[in-house]
Amino acid sequence: MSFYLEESYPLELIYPYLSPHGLIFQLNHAPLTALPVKDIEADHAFWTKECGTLLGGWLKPDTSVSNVCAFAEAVYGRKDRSQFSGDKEYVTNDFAPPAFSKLRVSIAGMYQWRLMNIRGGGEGAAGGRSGLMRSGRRSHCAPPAGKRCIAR
Amino acid sequence: MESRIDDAIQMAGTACKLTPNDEQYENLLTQLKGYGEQMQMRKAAETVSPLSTMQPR
Repeated sequence: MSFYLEESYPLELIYPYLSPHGLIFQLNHAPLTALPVKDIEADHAFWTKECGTLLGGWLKPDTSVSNVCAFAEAVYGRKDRSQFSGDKEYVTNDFAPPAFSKLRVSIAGMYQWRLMNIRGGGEGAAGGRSGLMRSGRRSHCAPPAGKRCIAR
Repeated sequence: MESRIDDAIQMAGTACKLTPNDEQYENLLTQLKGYGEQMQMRKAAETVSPLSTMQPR
């Protein structure tokens, strides 16, 4: 039997048991000393695709914070969507961006926990590059730099 | 580290612009700016040679 979890509040006790599963987590039966590389790659591919579809594909692991802020101020602040190539229905929905960003930040939180608490697991830095982007009331994180962290 | 603080200040600044009058973001921005200034001062102090601060007799 498999269990899945949508995080409401981060609980340190269960972080070792979590692995990314799309928008949410899989709660594994035993603690994971390292996340399987295929899971990290699948997670990176998933968020890259989702962010690309919803936001327009400009947000990369190496996108500068200045550009992220400029995007947020234009699209959400000034409502200037003339350059926006993502999903306009998504970006104008009051609930979808905060919900999406909450889920994204939850996954990033798991990578951050692993980075801080588990050494030599290979995936430590996956959530390290988290370009925070204001959208509505919450923030988005850029896709984890999966390839980079795997190489470490 | 310094560039990360600058990034954090920029993000907090954007958050303040998008959510005017939000006390939490405003406090965060103030704290980050203070921390950034402290870091700069510490860095400047480290680069000053102890000899250059000695007064001639």
